[in-house]
Amino acid sequence: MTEEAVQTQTPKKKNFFLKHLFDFLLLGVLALGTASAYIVRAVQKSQVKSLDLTARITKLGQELMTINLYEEGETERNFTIEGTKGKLTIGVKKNAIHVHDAECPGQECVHEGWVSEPNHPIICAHNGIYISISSYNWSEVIIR
Amino acid sequence: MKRGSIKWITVHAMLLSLALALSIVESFIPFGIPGAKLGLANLVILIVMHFYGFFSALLINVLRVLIASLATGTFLGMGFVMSLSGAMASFLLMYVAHRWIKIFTPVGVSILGAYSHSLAQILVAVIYYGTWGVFYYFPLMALISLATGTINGFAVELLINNRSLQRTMELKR
Repeated sequence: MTEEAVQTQTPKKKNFFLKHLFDFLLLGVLALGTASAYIVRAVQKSQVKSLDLTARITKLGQELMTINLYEEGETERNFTIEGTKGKLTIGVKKNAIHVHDAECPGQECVHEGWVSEPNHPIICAHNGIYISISSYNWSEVIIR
Repeated sequence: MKRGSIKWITVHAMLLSLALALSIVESFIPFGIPGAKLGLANLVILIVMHFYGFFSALLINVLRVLIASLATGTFLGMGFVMSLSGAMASFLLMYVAHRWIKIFTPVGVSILGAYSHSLAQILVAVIYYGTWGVFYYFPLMALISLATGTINGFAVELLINNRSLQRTMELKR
């Protein structure tokens, strides 16, 4: 590359970064904020010690059922629930739950796979179904 | 180009078809996260906003969401509500950034749009399900939106600086 060519390229490169300075600043700030949220979530996840999980299934905010996942067997048990637009087949086994099959176009809830982690919800937006998983509070039982 | 003229209707119908096609195609690309998409349709919205302004971009954006939800069978479902709210929030923020906050190029405008789309969707889901647990999905969704927003932004910048597209969009008589 000739010296002249280098000289003509340098201001172009400078212009690119200067031109996008605020775009990159915005990207950096948003990425940093999101990464912090991700780290907080990872720390919270690592602090959960209990493996005794319960799942709460709601439809449009109304509770359909609560399942003590720690009482389930090692083999999968399936049952069907009615969503707002179609049926969902839910599979449960010891401390784990998943959506086996769903009548929805996106199938995101099915792709989510087995979930055995507190605070990790499963959502079927099409059918208004929300499955939340939490650690079973044994201390509450003892106090009662 | 006069609003409501044959030329205006034809150009807008073609742009709407393009946005719709991209919208439907990307709905079949699974991300494994509810609401996460490539945001390809936003390319068309940003280009329309640049060349034709607020009204045209809003019209194409609303019609795109309505027709795409009818085509994919999600009309009036939660997916539709999330999609519409995300599209509207990102559109308004992108317009404010494009029209009044002059410090951003189309890249910054696209990043803002993609991020606000994710945030609006999550906030609607929080209201709908009545729980903050939905925020579990936000960090991953937001990181994906930052990546897709940046790539789309550079694509828009290349396209709006393209002489051939400029001639086509401005319809030099």
